Amino acid sequence: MRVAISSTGTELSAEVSPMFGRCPYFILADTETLEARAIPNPAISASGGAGVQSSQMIVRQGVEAVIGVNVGPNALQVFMAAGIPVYQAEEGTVQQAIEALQAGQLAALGAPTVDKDFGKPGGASARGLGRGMGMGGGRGSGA
Amino acid sequence: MVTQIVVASGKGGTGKTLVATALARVASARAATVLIDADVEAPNAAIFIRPTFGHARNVETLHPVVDAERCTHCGRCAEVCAFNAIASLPDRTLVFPEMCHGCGSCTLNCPAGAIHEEPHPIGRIEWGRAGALECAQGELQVGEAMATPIIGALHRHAVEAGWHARPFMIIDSPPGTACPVIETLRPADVALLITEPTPFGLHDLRLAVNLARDVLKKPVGVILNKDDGLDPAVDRYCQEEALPILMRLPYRREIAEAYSSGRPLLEALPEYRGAFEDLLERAAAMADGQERGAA
Repeated sequence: MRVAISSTGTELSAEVSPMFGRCPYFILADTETLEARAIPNPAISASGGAGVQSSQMIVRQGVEAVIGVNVGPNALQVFMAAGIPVYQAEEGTVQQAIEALQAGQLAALGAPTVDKDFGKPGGASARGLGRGMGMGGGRGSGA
Repeated sequence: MVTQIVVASGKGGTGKTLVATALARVASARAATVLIDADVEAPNAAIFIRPTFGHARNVETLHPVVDAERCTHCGRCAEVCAFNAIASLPDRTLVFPEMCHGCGSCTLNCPAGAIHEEPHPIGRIEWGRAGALECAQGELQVGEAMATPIIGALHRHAVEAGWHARPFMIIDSPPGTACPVIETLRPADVALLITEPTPFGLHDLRLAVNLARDVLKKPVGVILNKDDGLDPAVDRYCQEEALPILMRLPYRREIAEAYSSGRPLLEALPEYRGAFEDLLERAAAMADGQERGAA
């Protein structure tokens, strides 16, 4: 199975990134062969909509699953619309996250784990100390 | 010819509304004056002015709607969207309205003609008067993110209503230095930047000066509020930058008490009237280029 993982670096030994839309790299990996390549996140410094842009890019890579630590409402909505399950990893390396997925230890996300703008400078924080600007999920209109 | 005085600040809670409403009262006693509350995320000048708003108009932006039948999923709309408000997936196109700035690029660029725009209400403007003082305010709807179009609607209304023929227009700005503040400052003849003598106050004053004076080329005067005389850093900065300090309001419990109970400053503490009359004179002189500010 081809998966995409939010990563802090380019190798399987890199730590998974706690941010999704603004993580430095995505690792695209084959869970069977552990063949992997890293792609730099085009949305890392977007002024807004990083989750939308990065998730669209990943959908277009043709992956069958996504692993992240924190995934915001917009990115999650894109993956749901595309029918791609999103799994939540704990801290650890990208390779550990893939192994945990293989072992059935990762839960699929049904709701965002962080507010919109998490990981954006001045944006919402994981502990809800931001300005409460999050818009919640489910607002996009499909066509 | 109107003199448009915008009361702004880098830091929030420094006294924009306190000063704008008192200044409007003083100006209105002298000549025809309009007070515009452009702090559309939290308009509160009306608390102190108590106007009757007899008129209102909705403000809308245009959002794209994708026709699923005609969409070929080419991805051009997402590619041209500067705000990442569209996700083009292999068999679906998602629009995120809260990210959309209503620029129309997606609609113009769609090669299949599959996108049209629909109006989306984001808030409203209201206008009326409080005695001789004409007033307007904008209000952004809860849950909406874009304040700028509402401020633009206030400016347009000022033109349509003939307010540019009044001697004074006092505009209460949102805080900060982002798009809504730029939009508010756009027509200003002079910017009054309020701050307080604290490290935060100084930090955000620098940002506001950078925007109003250096980027927008406006004459800039500084008002020092809650001046307890303890931290000279703002004074030193203003001296170095040749920024005139047009007024100082002391750090005084009575001012805070009047403000927090919704009492106009000059009603509660009429001894400040002279200071606001001076402020109006100096601001108007700076707008005319007679008093050299730092622009």
